[in-house]
Amino acid sequence: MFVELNNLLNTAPDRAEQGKLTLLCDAKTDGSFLVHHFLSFYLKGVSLTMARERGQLVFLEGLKSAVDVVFQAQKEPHPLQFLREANAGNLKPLFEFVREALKPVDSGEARWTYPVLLVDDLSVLLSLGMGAVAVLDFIHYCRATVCWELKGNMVVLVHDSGDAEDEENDILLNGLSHQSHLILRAEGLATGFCRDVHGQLRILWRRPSQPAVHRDQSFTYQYKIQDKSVSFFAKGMSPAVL
Amino acid sequence: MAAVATCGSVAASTGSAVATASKSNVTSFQRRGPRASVTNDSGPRLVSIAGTRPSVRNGQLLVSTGLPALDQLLGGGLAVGTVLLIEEDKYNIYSPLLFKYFLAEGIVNGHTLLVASAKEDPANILQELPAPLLDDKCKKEFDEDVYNHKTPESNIKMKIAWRYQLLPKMEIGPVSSSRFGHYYDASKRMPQELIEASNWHGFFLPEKISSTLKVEPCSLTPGYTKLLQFIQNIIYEEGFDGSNPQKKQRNILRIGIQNLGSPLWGDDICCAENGGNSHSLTKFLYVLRGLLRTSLSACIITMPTHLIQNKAIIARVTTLSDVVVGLESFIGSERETNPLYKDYHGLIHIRQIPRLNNLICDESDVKDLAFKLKRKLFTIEAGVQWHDLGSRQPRLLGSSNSPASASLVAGITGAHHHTQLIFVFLVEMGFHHVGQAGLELLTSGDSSASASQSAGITGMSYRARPRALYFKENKSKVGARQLLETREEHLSSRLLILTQAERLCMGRRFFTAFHIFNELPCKGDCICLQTCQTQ
Repeated sequence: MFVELNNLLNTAPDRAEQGKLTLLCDAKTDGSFLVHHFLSFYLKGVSLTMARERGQLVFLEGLKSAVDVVFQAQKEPHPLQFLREANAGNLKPLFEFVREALKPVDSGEARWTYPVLLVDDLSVLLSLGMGAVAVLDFIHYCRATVCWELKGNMVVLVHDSGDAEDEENDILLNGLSHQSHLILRAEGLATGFCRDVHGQLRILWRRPSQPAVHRDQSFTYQYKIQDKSVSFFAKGMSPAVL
Repeated sequence: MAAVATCGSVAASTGSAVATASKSNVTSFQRRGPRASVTNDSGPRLVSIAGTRPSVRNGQLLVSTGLPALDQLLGGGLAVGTVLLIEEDKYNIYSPLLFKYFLAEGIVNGHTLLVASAKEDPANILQELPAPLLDDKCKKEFDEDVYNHKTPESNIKMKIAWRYQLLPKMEIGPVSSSRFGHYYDASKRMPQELIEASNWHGFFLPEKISSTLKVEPCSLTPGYTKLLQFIQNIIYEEGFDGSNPQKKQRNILRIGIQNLGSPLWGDDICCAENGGNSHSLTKFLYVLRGLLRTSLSACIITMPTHLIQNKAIIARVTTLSDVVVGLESFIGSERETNPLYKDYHGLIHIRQIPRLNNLICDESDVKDLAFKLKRKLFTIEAGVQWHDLGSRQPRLLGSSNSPASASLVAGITGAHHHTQLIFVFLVEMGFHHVGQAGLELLTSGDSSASASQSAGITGMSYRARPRALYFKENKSKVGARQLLETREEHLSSRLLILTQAERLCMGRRFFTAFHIFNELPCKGDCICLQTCQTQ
């Protein structure tokens, strides 16, 4: 969790909004630091291994599961079953897996507050043969379950291919941008590589219920990634230049 | 640089926790293998694998790519469990070299090899591997270009430039497999006994495709499916993933796949823009990476990306690979006749380096890298001065014998890329107000300066009278490049360090300009830039 990013987003772990879809997008750079931020934000200082042991974290690792699916015949439906099929239809098994994992446990004591679904990343699903519409359907079902029914949050990462003319990716990105409440867009600098400024982050809030003035606010910051944290500053105000 | 594309995995959690799908965070990158500093008290758990070393940044186990210069550019080496994708050059002349260096490094280190090709029989590929260079021969290779010839041991300390005294010297002796990264002689073949002593597996597509192996239903092209099965079989049978109870393997599997994506593999992405199998290659890469992540293996793939019609597929392939290196040869392009590139055979682009278990990666600051295939060696050279990255000796410009200039000149090479870039920036920015991009170097004050105008500054001696470097406007438009050429002339004409007296007399901005010009450590780099701007 990057404290500076929390300040920029005007949020904190104990007063985060619920029922929101956040879209992370990266263009010409790597946006995985944003995923890291949200992961540690929602886990609130617990380490990943500990969270997994406690059952707080359910982790589907695509690469390992893909190897299992492709090389061994599965008895029951596997979340990544579409890898075995020639014409992959939809992501229904994946959605079933998500729903199963997020079902509230009826053990009497409510240990966790609200569920969060974090997907990293959706563009790879397109590379694996799914159509953009199938992925959008999956996100729509997840949103209905996680955001509306269970009052949780969703964070998804999509790559922006930029000038690579990836139509499917563009459809996916535009569709998701339309549905999300907060868009964080990490872009590489237009002038190329720089040691002190690794990229630019655009924050766009979309609040359709607010009056027009507050509806779509957008801020742009530049950032530099360090070993353990990311520092943000206004455009052109990098400490290396000042 | 784009990082590793994590799988499309979905994580969910009951409660306020968030589950990540980023594989690089949690499980797959457990530290494999021990650290380099082996202590005996922990027993067999710390036995190190030959030819590997842990990364300085994140402790990942690294293997050498066979080119020490490329290792340095990738941040130490190729991490075990990752894919190195080489985008082939247009006529496929230099990418097979990199492929062979990778395999040759495996043989020298005693790793197991798996060679897959649709074009050549893997046995033939192995016959053509370059021979490793023994250490004393290796020194001779570099001494050809280097003024600092090897003298008897007692004089070595005096000759080495002050900056490089602390670097480890080259070992004398035969090639030992405990070294990380070897040099290879491209004009000789690997000795037959080394090849026969190694453990290798070959996958030649025309042979395998005709056999009737039971193929699992999957929507990949048959060639890819067979290859995946083969790789998975080897990994399981030889115990590289630790799941085979009978086989305990403590070695690395080096996988090499040649010309992946070409029509010989049965894939049509190089022929048609929207072929029927457009997802086959990306699926293959995904599953391959899944196999690699769970085993002690590293993979090199050469791919003719210049043939792929659909740019979206190239972008996806790049995201699905870990390290992506592109080769661009000058053959047939207009750069072949460009005098700037006359000694080089092509450019090498490091397009992507993964961020494994870390927020950042070790990117090289220098982005303009060129390669050349010398008589025996393949070298990668970097930056404006094109100094050799793979060489351990500083490459010196000019052949002056004066020790002082040797130390100055030696200061050019080495890893101080950022000072070179500051220099260029200074030139572009700092003297802008002096003239409109027309610049000429002069010495100040001395009447004999006229003689030095053309050749540069000569005889900056230890006199009390200060000399400063002025930059005067010239009629012809001269850019930074020409200024650098005059700089080379200066350095060959023995530009010396100023004495203390001279430093005191010089104005501060000339002093710092002088220092940056000579790439000496300069306090207050930022201040220097500003003062030059406001000149």
